[in-house]
Amino acid sequence: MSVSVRNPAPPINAGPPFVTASSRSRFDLRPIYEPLIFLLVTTAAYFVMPPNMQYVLGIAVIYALLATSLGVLFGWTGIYTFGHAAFFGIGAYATALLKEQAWGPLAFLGMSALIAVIAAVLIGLIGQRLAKVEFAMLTMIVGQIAYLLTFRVPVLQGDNGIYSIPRGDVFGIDLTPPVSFWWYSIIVVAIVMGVLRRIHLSPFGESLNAIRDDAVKAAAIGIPVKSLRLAAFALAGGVAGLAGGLFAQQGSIVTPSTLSFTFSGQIIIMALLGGMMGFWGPALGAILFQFINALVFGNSTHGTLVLGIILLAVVMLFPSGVLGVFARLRDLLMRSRSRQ
Amino acid sequence: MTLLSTLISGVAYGVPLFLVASGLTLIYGVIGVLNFAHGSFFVVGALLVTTIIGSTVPTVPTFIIAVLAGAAVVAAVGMLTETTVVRHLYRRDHITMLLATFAILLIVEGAAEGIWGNSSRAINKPEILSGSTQILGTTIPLYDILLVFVGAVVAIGLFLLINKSTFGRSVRAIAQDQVMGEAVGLNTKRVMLLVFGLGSALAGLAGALIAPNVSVSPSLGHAFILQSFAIVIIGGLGSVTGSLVAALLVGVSEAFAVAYATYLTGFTFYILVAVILLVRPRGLLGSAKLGRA
Amino acid sequence: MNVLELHNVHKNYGGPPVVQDVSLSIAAGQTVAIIGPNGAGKTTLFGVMAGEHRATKGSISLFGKDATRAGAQRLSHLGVARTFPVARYFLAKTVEQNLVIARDAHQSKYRNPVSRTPRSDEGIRTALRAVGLDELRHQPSNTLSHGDRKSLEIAMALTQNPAVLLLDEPTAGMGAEDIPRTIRLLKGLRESRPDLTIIITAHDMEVVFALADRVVLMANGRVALEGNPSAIRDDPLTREIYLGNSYEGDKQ
Repeated sequence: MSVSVRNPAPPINAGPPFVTASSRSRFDLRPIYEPLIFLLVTTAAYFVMPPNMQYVLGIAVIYALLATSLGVLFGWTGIYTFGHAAFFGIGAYATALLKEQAWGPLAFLGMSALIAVIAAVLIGLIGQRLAKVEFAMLTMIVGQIAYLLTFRVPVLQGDNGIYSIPRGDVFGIDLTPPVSFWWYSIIVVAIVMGVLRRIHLSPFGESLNAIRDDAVKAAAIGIPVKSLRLAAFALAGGVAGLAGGLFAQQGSIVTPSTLSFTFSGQIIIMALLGGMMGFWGPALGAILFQFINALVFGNSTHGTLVLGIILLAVVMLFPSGVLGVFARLRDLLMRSRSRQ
Repeated sequence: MTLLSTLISGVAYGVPLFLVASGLTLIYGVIGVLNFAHGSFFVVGALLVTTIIGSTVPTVPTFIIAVLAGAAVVAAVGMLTETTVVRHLYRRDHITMLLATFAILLIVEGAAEGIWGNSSRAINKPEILSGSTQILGTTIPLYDILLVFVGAVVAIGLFLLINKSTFGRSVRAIAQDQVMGEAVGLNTKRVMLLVFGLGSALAGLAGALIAPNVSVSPSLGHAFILQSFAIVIIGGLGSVTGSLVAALLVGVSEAFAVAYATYLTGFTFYILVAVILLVRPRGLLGSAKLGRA
Repeated sequence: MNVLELHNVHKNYGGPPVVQDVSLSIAAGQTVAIIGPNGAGKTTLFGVMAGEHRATKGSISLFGKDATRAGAQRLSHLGVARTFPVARYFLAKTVEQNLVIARDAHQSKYRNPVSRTPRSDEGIRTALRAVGLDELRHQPSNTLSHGDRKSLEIAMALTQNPAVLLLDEPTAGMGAEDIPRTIRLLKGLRESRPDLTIIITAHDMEVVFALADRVVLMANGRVALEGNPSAIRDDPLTREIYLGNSYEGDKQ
């Protein structure tokens, strides 16, 4: 179906150009086959790439998860946060600090997620009564506090970071070789993405969208706006924390830069590059961003400057990201076809 | 340390915070834009002064010229930002504007790194201002007295400008209702540009004034913007008076922490933020728009 | 039994009271219209009843239980559904999807984040038919006409199976052709749901006299008059309050 010609209302900003009819099937398979496609495509790419690009892709899929968790806030719920790196960093530091424990790698990820959820709930509760813009400022402050704490708290080792974080083994498979770690991380990422997709399509996810679009109306029809916002913040924090744990295992080192303000900005740029509105937009944007970063600006000393210019260009020219550009192209194509 | 000297050093600590925060809140109150790049403007002010003064010991006129030049250049940067970016996004949604100013923050900071490098710089104060004086038997640094003086001048000046001048009247009208402002024939475009310039100039002034007291590097803005964000929040978004009260509160409590409770140093303002947000989520003098500054 | 009772309700926003000392008892199945000139406080009173604003003083009870401090979300689950003067709904969704969201919200389905993708059902079809939007159910809701938008909002309220329906200016901004349609819709609703309590605010006296069992006339934040529609219309105080101000009650 396409936009009606009866009443050509102006497109509402950032709204999708199409409203797709809801799936007829009782069992929605998207949460299963979409992550599977994601897994297969990235893995196929992984095995044809040279090792240095394999390394980039290995980080990119972790960032894909991280950017999707930001999408939960910006895209699904309409919560603006400028300190999302804090949760990624908290997750990474949790895994790093617990490295002496004789746990399996999955237990570390669980702990990373859990600790990040606790942090997110605390911040969410403090900020619960704040308006949108003030909340955005609060997240920025909290992010910066987390960053500064790494220098203040001796056990966090300041700029040196914490290293020698073990990868361990899962089901008897040693994760030290890059290929085994690839399989481990892509499977974890795909499963979490599948769970997120399921949540996205559930009434819970629909309610978050409703809050994003009109919080007053959402409350009027009985959606508990405050608690769902808090739940979304906790979910996003937890997933970011899990991604952070994975990142710590991947690189075996954690430094304050995982919590930095610039990194929070990078996550926003990744998600924005792909498009915040679609489920897969942020993930796509993260992978794209990693490769642009590696190929074009690999050794640039003007990283921050270039980052700012990219962000400004995306915001001003393509506010709905790569997915938005695709949708617009599809729209044009459909229109030209219907004209014939 | 006596009570008086602690108080004065606290107020002096609060003044640059007030300058940065009042610029931020003024822009928000009138235009409705939260300028994330504000902290980077502050740093540009500080860096410019270090370049102008270099390693010399400046005379008072040189120092004044350097400080004013810093404020003026930053005002120009702010106005350039308004005309090239911010102005084109007024009709877009909130988040677009936040992201755009965030991008400008990255650009300005990146450019500052490119121009000035990452190393820290320190400059001298004019000779006459580097000493101290005796008031009621306690030693007070002269530079602190200068800061208190500048803070008072700016606070009174802003009050008069907003509440008593013709320009202030159009500013208040536009803060209330932009469309109405336009309808009654105000040049809203120009007023908004000037407000953006004025707010930025305040950030530049703060940076220029603080330069002799700290080591200046492009990342100086991070810690500072954080504190001024906190001040804007606890003062109430859009309230200049609120940011004055909050800045003094932060400054004085930090000075008392330094004097009497060293283990709290650097954390007082986080505590203040948390407490005030819990008690008064709209800030001390919170209102969404700038009614009366 | 009274469905909704207000006892000495006051509301101010820091300044002078906008609503003062309002007491009302509304029985099940009644249709009550709140009228009054602009600034009389009817929108504020309506907001207080809908839980959007909290009463400064006084109390509100719903089905005999205290609901003074219940917010909009709580009231919705207690069976109070409302509409807005400018229809509010979710622009990015189709007509049907809007109703699905409303139904799921009422059934608290948001509690289960991994439940199945929501679907339409018979209750939703019925609500769509009741407001005459059945044909347009797959239409993106941002393409609807003004009248259809108002109908969509009523349909969203109906999927929540409310006991009390609060309609804030149901005909605001409507053209002459849409008003009779809305009146027909609401009349049909009263016939099919005789126990449904409806409270409307309206400027349009045509709507008030066509639907209301009882009229509450407000002036300066207080209830000035209360009674059946014709008694209110004939009372000299009514004319005085409106002072020729858009009062068209007896134009036919």
